[in-house]
Amino acid sequence: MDPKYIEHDAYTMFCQIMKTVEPWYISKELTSQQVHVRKLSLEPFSKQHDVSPSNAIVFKLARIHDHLLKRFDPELRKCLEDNDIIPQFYGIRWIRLLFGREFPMQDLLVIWDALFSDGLSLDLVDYIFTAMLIYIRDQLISRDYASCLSVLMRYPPAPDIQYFIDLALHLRDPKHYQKPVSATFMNHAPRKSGAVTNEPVKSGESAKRTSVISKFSFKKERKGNERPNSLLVLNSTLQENALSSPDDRYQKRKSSVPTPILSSQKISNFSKFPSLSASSTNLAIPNDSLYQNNSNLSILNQDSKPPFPSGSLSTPIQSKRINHSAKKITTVDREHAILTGRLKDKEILINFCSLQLNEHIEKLKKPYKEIDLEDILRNLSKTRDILNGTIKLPSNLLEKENVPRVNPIKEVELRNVNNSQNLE
Amino acid sequence: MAAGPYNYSYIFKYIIIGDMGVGKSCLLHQFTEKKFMADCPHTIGVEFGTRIIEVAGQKIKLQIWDTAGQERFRAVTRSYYRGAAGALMVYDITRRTTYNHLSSWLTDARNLTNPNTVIFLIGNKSDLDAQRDVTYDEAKQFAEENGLMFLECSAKTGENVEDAFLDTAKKIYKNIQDGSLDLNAAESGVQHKPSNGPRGANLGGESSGNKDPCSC
Repeated sequence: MDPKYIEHDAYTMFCQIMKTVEPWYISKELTSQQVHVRKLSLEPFSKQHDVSPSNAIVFKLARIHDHLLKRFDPELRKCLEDNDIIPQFYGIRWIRLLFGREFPMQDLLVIWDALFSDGLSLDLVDYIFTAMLIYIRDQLISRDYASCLSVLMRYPPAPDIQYFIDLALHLRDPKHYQKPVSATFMNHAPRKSGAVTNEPVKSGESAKRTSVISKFSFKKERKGNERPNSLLVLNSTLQENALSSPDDRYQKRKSSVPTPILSSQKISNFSKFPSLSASSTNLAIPNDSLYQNNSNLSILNQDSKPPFPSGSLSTPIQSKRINHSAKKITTVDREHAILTGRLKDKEILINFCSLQLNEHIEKLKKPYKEIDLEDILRNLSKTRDILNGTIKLPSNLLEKENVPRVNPIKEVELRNVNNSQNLE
Repeated sequence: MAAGPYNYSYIFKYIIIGDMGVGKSCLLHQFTEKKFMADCPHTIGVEFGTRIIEVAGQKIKLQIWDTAGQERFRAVTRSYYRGAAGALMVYDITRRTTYNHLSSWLTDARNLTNPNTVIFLIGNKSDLDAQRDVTYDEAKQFAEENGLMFLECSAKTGENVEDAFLDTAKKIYKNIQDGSLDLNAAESGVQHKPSNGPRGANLGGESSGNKDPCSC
């Protein structure tokens, strides 16, 4: 990029973005007659629908609620629906300003980097939207109308902005992007210490979500963080976009997130492994390897800041360390991928078996004469053998993506009644 | 706000409407936070605020919707009108155009709310009397002709802001008392005596509790 033309380039990029965003700003004015007709037709319904569903933003919002949220967190969607909270109430601003009012500037730049480098369609917006809802689900579920709206209209400070991107990417493409483990620790590892304070696999109790209040207090620690020049960020992400595969690009960008220096105690506060709690704790994952993996990722975050002009890369010792740790990372990454794959398979297996068991329990509830005991016995033994590992799961099941499964979000549910705060 | 959040007998839904830049969000902010917001950003879509007030010994929770004034947002904001018990219609006493548009806002308000919705006309920025472009008397006359309540307020100094919100609530409460506002109507904008916990609290808790064991 020629510095002489930065203004021109910025303008061109701005125009490109606005072209995508334009329909979200246009809402057709209905004539008063139309309004009248629509009003009449709406009268019998108590549910609030927008009077002019003809405009793009309302469609987009409805699609997010009816497809994405329904798919990823049906309980949350139902809760919002029961409360008559339509996405237009809060979502118009989220989307029109690309989350500009929801996050502080330094965090917003991270989000925008992810959005703009992902492609001109800004397709990731919908998933970040969904991720943002899922992130505050505990503050929405089982709360009254006004509390829900207050949280949605004044999005609570989030300690780790990268979490939203990670979760969004995971929701869109779970095969290539792993579910982010927590809202924080990956990117907040201490800079200089070799000792990693994260405690990845914790007991059931501590694996629950940390209370939102502690996350809030965490926020202030980040304020002093400096961001790289945003134009340069945009520039380099665009270059990455052209040069590398999506995964590489993502990995690099991930490492560009500022890593604030934090006390180890703070970090351990935020370490949690929701994905390993509840249903999967009995899967005997070697704790060490996961632990190691995290520590290596944190090395990545400390040392490599690839495409950005930054002071932290200057010494030769550091670059040696990068080479060294880069090798380590690839091996560990591979291990990690394998383990994640196995975990997923196990999850599918468990769900398959529980479906089977359920089905046969239902069968057993029928009147005695209709019961085909032999069939049930055969199937139950088969299920037992699958669980024992002596029979393999039908391989077609593993291929399918939409195997009915435990909603992963449920695993991290924590009904924190203390959250009442003073939203009233 | 802190005193007994669930100790209220009614919930009233309010909306604030009017042209862009007349100070709708500032009025809301002044009323809920008792502070003037000097550089208030544009409202995109809608804002929301609550405050509990007391009318005739009854605690009433106001849920106030603050809508975007920009013309281009109006098609979307129309859906926010429904079910409002009170509508605060705001113009800027220093800008005549905002006053001239009142009849269009009033049409919207009348068409999209129920007949019992209390509409309160507010002439904002009364602190800027030197730049006044709309006289008190003509606005008062407009209000009377259209059966609106009327006050001039200042979101900056806070003058009359409380009164505007409270008088609207009093009028709604009076309508309830004399039976002209039917609480059972779907869009009355008033809810009576919520149960001790938030609505849906039990529902949500139960459903998740049931699902968990067999979430397959």
